[in-house]
Amino acid sequence: MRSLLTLLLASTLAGADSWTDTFTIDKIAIPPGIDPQIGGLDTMPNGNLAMCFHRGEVLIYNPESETWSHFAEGLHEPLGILAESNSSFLIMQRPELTRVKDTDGDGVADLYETVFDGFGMTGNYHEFAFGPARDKDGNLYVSLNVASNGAGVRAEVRGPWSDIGLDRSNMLNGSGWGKFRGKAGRMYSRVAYRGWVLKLSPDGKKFQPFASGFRSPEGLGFDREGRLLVTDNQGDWLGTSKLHHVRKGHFHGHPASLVWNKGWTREPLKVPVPQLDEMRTPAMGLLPQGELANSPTEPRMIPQGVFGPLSEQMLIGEMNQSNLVRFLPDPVGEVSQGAAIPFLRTNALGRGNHRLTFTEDGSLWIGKTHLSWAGSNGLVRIRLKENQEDFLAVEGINLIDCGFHLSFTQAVDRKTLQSVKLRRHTYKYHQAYGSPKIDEKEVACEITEISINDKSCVVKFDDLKEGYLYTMSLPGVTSAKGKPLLGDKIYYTLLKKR
Amino acid sequence: MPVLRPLQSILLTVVSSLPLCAQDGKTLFTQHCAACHLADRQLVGPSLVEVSKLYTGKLDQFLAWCIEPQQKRQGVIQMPPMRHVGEGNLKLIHTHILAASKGVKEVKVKGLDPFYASPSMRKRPQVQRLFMPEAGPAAIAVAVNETLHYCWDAGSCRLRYIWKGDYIDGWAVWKGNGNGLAKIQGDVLLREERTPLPYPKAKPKFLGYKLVNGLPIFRYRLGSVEVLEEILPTSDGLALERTFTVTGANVPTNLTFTASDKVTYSSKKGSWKGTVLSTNPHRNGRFAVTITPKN
Repeated sequence: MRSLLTLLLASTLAGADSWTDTFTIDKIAIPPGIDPQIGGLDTMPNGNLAMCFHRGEVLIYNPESETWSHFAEGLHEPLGILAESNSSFLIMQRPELTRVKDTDGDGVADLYETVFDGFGMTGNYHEFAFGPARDKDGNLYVSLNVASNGAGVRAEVRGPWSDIGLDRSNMLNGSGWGKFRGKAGRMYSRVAYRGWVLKLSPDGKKFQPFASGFRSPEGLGFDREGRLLVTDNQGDWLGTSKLHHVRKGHFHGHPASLVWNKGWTREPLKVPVPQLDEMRTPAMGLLPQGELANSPTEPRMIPQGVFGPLSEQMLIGEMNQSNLVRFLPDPVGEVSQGAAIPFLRTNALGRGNHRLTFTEDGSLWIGKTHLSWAGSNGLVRIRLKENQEDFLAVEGINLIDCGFHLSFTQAVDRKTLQSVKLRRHTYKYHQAYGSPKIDEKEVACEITEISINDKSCVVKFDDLKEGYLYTMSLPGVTSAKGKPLLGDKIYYTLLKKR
Repeated sequence: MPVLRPLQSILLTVVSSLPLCAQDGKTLFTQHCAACHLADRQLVGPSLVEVSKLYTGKLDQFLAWCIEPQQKRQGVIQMPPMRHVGEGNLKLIHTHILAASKGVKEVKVKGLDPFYASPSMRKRPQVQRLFMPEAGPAAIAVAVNETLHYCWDAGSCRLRYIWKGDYIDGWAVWKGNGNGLAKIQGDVLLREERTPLPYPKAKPKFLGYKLVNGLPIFRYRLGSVEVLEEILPTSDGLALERTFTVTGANVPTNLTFTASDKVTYSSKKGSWKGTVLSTNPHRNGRFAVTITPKN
């Protein structure tokens, strides 16, 4: 009976799915024999897709002929790939950034050249390594997870050890770890640059510790303005998952990484929270846990001319929920902030959305993984359906002195705008894992200044408060032609008033 | 752990666009299904015993499933569509599955790597980076051939150990988020305590490797010298040929190997004093040593 009900419910939802009316979502079969968890995905200059898998294989997929070829293998948990050419790839694996290259033209890699391994490893499972992202000058950025007290460290580590914190002999894996894990910090950084984003010269020979304060900086990408955007995952010190605008020398809030600041001597967990709060650059975007994102992944810009009016906006992958996130930056002076909107929120997408790339035909490709957390696996192709360019979505949102200015991709049906509701809340900044919503309340608002073409309006309200996440619901809003609004929630992180 | 023979590359079959000729069910099964299905136990997919239970007398349902598989079981990987195999061939495979599972009993296994038999895991030689026991966290496991294997450490730039038997079981690392160590599937012949090269204070810097016939030539720096190191099987496959090529300002004349009662060292050039090999310095820093397992 219960399963019948679930089935009915599921089919009702599927029937009402405006996302799949607008986009096609196709699953591409991965060749058998490969654990199909995709760690990295990129488009090659020739339009083929290169992807690396959980056990270290690198496969190339030709979308035109729908054929696969085996390029490389044996990498250690590769979680990012960047196609330098049709025969050379930069791949971030646990121990290093590696150039994997076919030098003899037979279509199979024969050179695995270490580009950068100047960071530490304790053997703790949570020390994942991500990237690389490349800026317009060719510099490379990689990011390093902190370790988790779900395990200790191995007797033999790579790189220098920081003596700040629990004695090393008590940090070792084994039966004794249970006694000490509570004192290590929920996450820790005892070898170099754990919890940092590093910047490498284009040849990888020089590096600088670029920014600190990360917990699990899973994805790195650049937006149209060249801002380096990096996601981070809810946990200790992160009340909810975040999108950061990463700048040189900034500290982004998770204190474990501070031990690798030059001259730093204090135990990070003993620094008073208000002092840490003072030091940190708050996130550009708060992605509310359970509602929008539990494990955000790679930020990737929609290329010019793709997805109609959403061209050149940012998409972010999400592992644990069946949606992506679209992000609209709206900086105020030097302060980066902006709005997150669900994208492709449909069961047809599924979870595990890890790495994103586009091909010239306008397809978005998503590589999925789970690594034993909630997620999925395999490769998915998303296309905007023909004659569906007139979909309705929020095209832009800007903070103004009396509220938000909203613009839409199409003329809206004015009367449906009356459903708009606004709430705000914030999160605690503390050592504990996650945070409840704090100081949550409904904010009275009204819709004014609807433009003559019905494509923009102002959501006016008095209670503009810095440091809050404003959640705008737009249920039932439709275009003048009756099309539903794709993404009817907006999560705006207000750090600074205009 | 069952000893499974390396299987024909399923991958190549999928990639190939050649039309399939009429074949027998067993060959077709090997080509298209064996990477994921064993007769008597769950691997990536269910055992043939279970498939037979589901599809005896239900050929149409079997074909429908193969052409458009669904996700029915929690925590396992969805089967890729087998439309390309062709309906005629799928019928032959169906017949083979029923025959091959006759009289076989299902073995319940826990903790078996579902990709153990997959071509990319059973390839020999094989180079695989993952967490290995008794090594630093940047370890590399190399299967030189079917029976001889070694672990090389990209952190300290040195050989850690050589073993004989089967290669590795990496399931502890691969089953989840990497929290575990691979298990070696054989007997350790040699644990090397330090690099044989005489630079005890030099800071190692790993530079990567090149694959030649599937085996790596490691490149690294030790202080002022650069080293190429490779470990190849001898022509009979029973021993290992280890070569160092050292270039730079301070080319050594002596290499000190770690003694083990399970191997013997020998070389065509140079003289031995215990496990210390001395060569003429103008041999351009090239050292070739044969490591032979004792019987």
